[in-house]
Amino acid sequence: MTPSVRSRMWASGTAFGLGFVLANYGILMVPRPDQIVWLIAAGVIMLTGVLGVLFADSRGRLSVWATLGLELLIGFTLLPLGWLVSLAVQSSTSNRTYLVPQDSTVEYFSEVIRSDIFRQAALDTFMVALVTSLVSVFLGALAAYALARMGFRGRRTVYAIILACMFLPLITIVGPLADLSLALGLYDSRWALLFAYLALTLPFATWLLTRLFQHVPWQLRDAARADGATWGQRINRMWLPVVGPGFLTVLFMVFFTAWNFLLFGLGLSGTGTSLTLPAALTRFGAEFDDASRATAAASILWLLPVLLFILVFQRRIVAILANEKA
Amino acid sequence: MSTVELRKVTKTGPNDALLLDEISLTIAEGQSLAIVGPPDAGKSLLLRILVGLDDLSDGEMLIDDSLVNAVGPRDRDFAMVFQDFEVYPHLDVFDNMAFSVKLRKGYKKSELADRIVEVADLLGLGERLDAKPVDLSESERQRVALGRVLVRDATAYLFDDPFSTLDDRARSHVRSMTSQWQRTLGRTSVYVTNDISEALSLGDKVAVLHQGFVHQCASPRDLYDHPVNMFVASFVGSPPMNLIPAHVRGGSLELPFTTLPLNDEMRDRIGDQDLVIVGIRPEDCTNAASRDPESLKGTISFSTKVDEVEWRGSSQYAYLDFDLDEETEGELQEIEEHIEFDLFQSHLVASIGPENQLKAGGFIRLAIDPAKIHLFDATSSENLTLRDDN
Repeated sequence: MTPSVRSRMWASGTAFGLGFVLANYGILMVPRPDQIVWLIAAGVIMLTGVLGVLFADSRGRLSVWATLGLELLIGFTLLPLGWLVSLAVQSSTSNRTYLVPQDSTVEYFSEVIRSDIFRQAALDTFMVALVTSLVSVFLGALAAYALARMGFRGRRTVYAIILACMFLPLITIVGPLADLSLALGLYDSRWALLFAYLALTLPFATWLLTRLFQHVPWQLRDAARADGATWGQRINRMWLPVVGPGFLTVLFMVFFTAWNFLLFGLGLSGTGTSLTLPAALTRFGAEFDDASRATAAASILWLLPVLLFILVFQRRIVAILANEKA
Repeated sequence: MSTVELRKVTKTGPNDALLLDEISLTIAEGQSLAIVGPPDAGKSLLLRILVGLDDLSDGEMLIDDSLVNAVGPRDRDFAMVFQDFEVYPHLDVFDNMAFSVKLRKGYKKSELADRIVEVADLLGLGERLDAKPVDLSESERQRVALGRVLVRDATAYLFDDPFSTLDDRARSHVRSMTSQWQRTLGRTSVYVTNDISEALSLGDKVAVLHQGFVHQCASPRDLYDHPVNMFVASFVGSPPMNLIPAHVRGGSLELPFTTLPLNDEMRDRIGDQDLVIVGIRPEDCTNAASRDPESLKGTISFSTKVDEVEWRGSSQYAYLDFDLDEETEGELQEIEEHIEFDLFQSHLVASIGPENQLKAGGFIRLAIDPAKIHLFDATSSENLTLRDDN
């Protein structure tokens, strides 16, 4: 038995055992409507074990451990999302919530969308995130160009400080920022949020753009000039298609960082006139009759743009984070 | 197609460093010029100045007799392949090749497509027209960069080391395809390379650039047979010309192995110098035993021990070590530092014919034809054997 076969056998055994335990737990402990979910999940994992044993001798590059890990990862990720969805779509009259929806209603979605607090928060969040990301990407691009392209003294130190800023526990600056915005008379306004969000996103944008710029083939400028391209042609036919997509990806990544961020919305708006979405969600308890279902519906509305972005841009996001050529 | 002329073109870098020093070159219409030199000689910079990416600090550049110092790259309309062979990553092979032509109005779409297909076939890219640069190998990308230039109708064509990533077999093929294509269309071309044999095969004329100036610009044969100085003599040719120090002793030259008589003219040119450098190409240093006695008349021959033999299939070289006194060694080192090039070896290389069964440690009788010998001034490094009319 070669080491790889032995490893596959162990993985298959683990998978089968795990699936077996899950199946039994589902049958014995889980209420009827949800049993099917447990059985499917357990079935897939047990099947992995069976197939792992059958193909343990294969020369192909298959890893049973990796397959099992992937299945568990998907399960752990999808389960809360599924729970969120079934919370949002089941009416409160069903006396108990199941993972598999027993009925469906759009009642909570329409209630949330019609509510002032959600509309206000969505608009605030969108505006603040948009302006923040535009300003961050503009300023960050200037800094990143210097960091990626110019060999000035102290370049590494500056880069290190920018990286360090990303690891700053931001909760420590919420208090001072609140005091500051009170003193400036900005408290409870979008302006206060804007400056706070810049502190959050600027290092991130600079870091992403530096990585992006390190892989831009700058020598293309000379090639295009030698080819006879005018200034406008270089922008239109070369820089926009070559750098544009990466730039757009960074812009979106920065936008959603701001979009998702909870702390400043909580700390810098006392009365709710400049609430951000994540902060508004924490107040739903006081606003809605069935707070948990309304929160779930709002969360889904809040998550949708993020999921859409990740689906569309996934290849470029990976390229930038993995520091590869996009 | 045009004539391109550089007059005393000078380029200074930061801190007034002299990067190019009064370079004067003429590339006649439809001719090809190869610029060759060791790395960092300023070859790429010269091309950037030609194409218009860098300004010249002093001097004049003319295209068909009109001054273009202040004319931008677009209006000079040169086509250039860069050393790092840039291709546009967002365009497939076809669009890469079409990029430059499409920047200008008045091209015919079908003609362009035909030409691109023709050039792509020439470069072995016919099957790859739809591929994106990411999916191409390095050598394919370089050929795309080459193709982008070959499809154009430009004032002149500049190639900065355009075959560097191709393997030996592909290189000679693509090289001859490229130069044939350019010659057939009567295109003015400039090739930059640091491979001397590539330069000799590509250029109607070859300019040897080193230390920022042109040492010699001549036809390949002229360059090989009549190098103006020690640098050109050593740089042009492989294995390089033997450069051996010789002391002038009473009307003849004392080499480490033998003595060479001097005629009056040479004695005049040497003047009262004590040290001169004798240059002999390896192929002019032959095995006396393998030549018929008639042809040995007038040659100088001597017997010596062979220290190393190198057999290369179609040729064979014998290495004969010699020793120098410390004073001469010092002088040679000074010359090398001045010229910034590795000129001198401590052995003589002789071409002895591939069929010879000579072993290291054996003895050989070498014949040298005095007419084939070059004498170089040790101070100025100039070739003293060149007649003034050369």
